[in-house]
Amino acid sequence: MNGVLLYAIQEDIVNFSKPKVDYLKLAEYCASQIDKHMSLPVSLITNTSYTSKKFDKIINVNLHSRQTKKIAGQQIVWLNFDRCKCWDLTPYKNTLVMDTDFIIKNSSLCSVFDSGKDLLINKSYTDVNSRKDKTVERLAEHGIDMYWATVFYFNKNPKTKIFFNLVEHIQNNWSYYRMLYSIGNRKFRNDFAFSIAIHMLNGYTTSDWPCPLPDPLVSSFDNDTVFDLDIVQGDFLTSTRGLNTHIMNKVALTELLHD
Amino acid sequence: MDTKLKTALEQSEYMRTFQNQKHLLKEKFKKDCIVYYNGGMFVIDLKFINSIKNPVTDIILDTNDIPVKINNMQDFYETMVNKFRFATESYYDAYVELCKYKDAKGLLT
Repeated sequence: MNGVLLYAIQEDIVNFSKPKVDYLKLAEYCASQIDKHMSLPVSLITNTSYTSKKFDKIINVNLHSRQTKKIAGQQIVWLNFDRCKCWDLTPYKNTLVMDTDFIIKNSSLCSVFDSGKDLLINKSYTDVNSRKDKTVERLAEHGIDMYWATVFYFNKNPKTKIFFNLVEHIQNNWSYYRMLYSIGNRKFRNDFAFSIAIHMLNGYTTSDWPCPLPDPLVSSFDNDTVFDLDIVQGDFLTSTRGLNTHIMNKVALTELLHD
Repeated sequence: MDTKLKTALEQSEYMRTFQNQKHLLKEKFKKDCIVYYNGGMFVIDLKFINSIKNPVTDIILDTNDIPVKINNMQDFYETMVNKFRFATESYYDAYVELCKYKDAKGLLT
């Protein structure tokens, strides 16, 4: 069976205050876009007691660790530690995992389920303003290639199990691997852990495994302004109409979806 | 501001936005040309289509030089042609739509 898996891990809402990044709201919108363009069942992994009929299944996990991140000048809680468990948690044999800030606007990712591949993930990204940022092309200046865990596809088989086990091992020993791969940023990022795991499984070399997704990772960044879901401003205004788009400014995205 | 300079700057803004939107369309086209078939990954272009029109063998090397056995060559050929047609026509339609607008604001609507 095919399906999409989303994550909405967030801290409990205190005193009914709106979180700066409302992952549940983002997940709801993401699920409605998937339903509209891809007609696939969507499951949600969350640490909250949330219920909704928008999801095929809601899978509860415990919050065990936390870190923060600065987005658009605001410090937000960033809980990204359970991505490596998606192999065990997914209810589907073939799973497309995506961030909730990835806005689906077409059906091109449907073809991953007919690919016959065990893992598909993008190595390159397309900036909305064609900007070149070398720091997101490699893990370090002379480091290995960076893969983007924003969206990826996998099917359940022994090889992908090994892969996700390795990602978990890297996460559990992040200080060591961060030093080994000369990563300046102390924060754990799934993109980094996935890139390291791919490098290790390829025998510490670069190879053609895994293949890219059949969709460009059109991406805007943390400080970009989001006017609506189709218009983003980095250096200048850009329309992303009809293109699946990764909007990293989750704070602006949350505000937009709450309005 | 001088009118001539204002017009020039508007044109400059239009060109930058146009080039950027075209770049996004091209990236979409490139990804639309990726096809997975029998466990192989194929990036389609006219050269590839011509090479599979009259194949010498039923083993085709994919983009990563992995040999892939094609059981039904006719189906493979038609899949590739249809995918390439879809990708090219989508690119063309989007490009024509883009060219309709002569100012940066129009390109973003």
